[in-house]
Amino acid sequence: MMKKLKSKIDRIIEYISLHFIFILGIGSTFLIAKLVGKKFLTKNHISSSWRKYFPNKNNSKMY
Amino acid sequence: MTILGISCYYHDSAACIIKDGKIIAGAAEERFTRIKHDNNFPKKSIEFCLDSLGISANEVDVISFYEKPFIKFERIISQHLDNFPRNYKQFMKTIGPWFGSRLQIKKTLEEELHYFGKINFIDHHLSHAASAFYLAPFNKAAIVTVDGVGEWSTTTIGSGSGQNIEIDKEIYFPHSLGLLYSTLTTFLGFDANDSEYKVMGLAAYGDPKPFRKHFEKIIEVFPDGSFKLNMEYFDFDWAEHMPSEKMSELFGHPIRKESDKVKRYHENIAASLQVKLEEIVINLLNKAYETYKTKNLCFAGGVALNSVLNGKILSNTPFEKLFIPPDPSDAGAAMGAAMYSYTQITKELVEKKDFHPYLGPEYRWHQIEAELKKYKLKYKYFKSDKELVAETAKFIKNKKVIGWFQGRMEWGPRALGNRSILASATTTKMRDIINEKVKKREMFRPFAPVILEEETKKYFETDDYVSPSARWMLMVYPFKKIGLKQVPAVVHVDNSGRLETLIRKDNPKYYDLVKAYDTLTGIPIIINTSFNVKGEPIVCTPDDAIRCFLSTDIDYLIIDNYVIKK
Repeated sequence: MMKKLKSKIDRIIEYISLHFIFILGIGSTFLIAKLVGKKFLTKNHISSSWRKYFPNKNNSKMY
Repeated sequence: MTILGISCYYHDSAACIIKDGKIIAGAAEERFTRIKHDNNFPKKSIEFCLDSLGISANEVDVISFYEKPFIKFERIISQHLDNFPRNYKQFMKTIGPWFGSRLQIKKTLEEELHYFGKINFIDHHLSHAASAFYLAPFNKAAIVTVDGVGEWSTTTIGSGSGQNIEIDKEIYFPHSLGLLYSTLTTFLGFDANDSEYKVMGLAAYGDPKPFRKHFEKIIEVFPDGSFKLNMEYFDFDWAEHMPSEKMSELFGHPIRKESDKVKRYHENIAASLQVKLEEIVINLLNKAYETYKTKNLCFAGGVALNSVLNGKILSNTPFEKLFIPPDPSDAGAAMGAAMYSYTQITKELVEKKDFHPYLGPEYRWHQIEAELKKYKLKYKYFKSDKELVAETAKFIKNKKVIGWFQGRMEWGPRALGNRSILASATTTKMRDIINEKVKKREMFRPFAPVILEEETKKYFETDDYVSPSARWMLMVYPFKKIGLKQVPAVVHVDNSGRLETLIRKDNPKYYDLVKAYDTLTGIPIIINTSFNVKGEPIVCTPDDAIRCFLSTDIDYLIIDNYVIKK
């Protein structure tokens, strides 16, 4: 019973959090970028020509 | 030094383990969970790998993950920024798991495996490159990887020499040949990341000309070998569906539903797509040759599963030798990541001389007998392999359909004679019989021939150098006249065949079976298709095999040396 309740609460929290991130995080960043008119949003998307590959020597990092 | 490679969370999760330079075991998670293309954390595959060495997770020195999760996440967030607010649904659907587990690999490994050791995160395309180069039978090569998408890259070129791999250039998402092919796969009514091979098979029926110009609008090719998708025709960067409405307008036809009949224009679109892919990749490979001036090519990434393309590489580029690993796609990247870490840490190469793809689980006689008892099946046991293969060859000659379950399961997406359905290829009727009795798949799809390697040039118009990748069903070549006449069941509509060449060293019992059939009939070729039914992964355990046997009209099930007749 408690497990079910916890799972429901977790789902509600996740739902609210995702909306919060979507509207405030993604939405506001999107708007700011549009307003300042920078090419920020498409910085990685504009060209299909080759890009130089920069090897990441640190394998222990997730980035 | 023990290294465990893992790939997961996109499609086809898998694990692979290396000890002191020897590849010990590897398997895709789908085979254990029975969920096709299972992308969850590969707990069962990992358990199998650890059991193969009889160790616990904490005895592993390094776990090597097949990509860098934060860089991939950066790309996904960037996609959402680009597509706000129309991406609402996709955001709600996909972002949760990233916060839940995908960005918390360390925590997942601690919780699931109680592993607290070192973790390496290898670039996705570097994992692909390693999966090819470190198994290739040459020490120097150009390396090209082409897939859907990893972190940001969809395509890379580089080179390998000895223990070193250097990627020089990459093409970024969304410009992706893998995603182009997957998008068209869904446009033609099939599933992305699953049925691309069906489109490849369908293409042979079509005429590429009617839609050739259309593809020039969809993808732009640059003189330097790179390319750019026209994103007006794609929605995959923000929606679950992949083609945009504009793609339907361009082709003048709606997106095909799975239940709709395949029409002539579907075949033509598939043909144009296949030709376009071949043109672009061949162009890319020619540029790679100009850059690296080596005769050897390693090719990996999901696009390297396109065996029709692979069969045209050596005849259309200056490369003289080609190597594609048995699993060039994401599952195979688990092995690539493991090999890369091993080489980086020890400064030694993995043992590749005796490499074979039979790296999955195997079952002992008492386990098999227990299963046969469970299902109350009567069987005949052959003490000698020689007698067994002679008897099986007779069954095949008599047009019986055989479920052939032997030894260790194959690594990679293809059944290569240990989890296979085998049959005679001498009449086209056999194709229909297998379809009717077992596979129940689309009639346009061809069955594959397995052939004794020494007979390959007699039956196929191959390159001078037949790549070892042909042993893993990764090459398509045209049949010669003798093949068209003797084995019509495995001849595709364009007179080609996706062959599996067989050497005795890799799989003696399987080789001896085809050889025994050759002795009986004078034909060194039989049908080999995967041991499964439509929509299910290839069987893994004797239990899976028996259930498949009982639910279909397979005539004989042969597990190890136990022969069960229906």
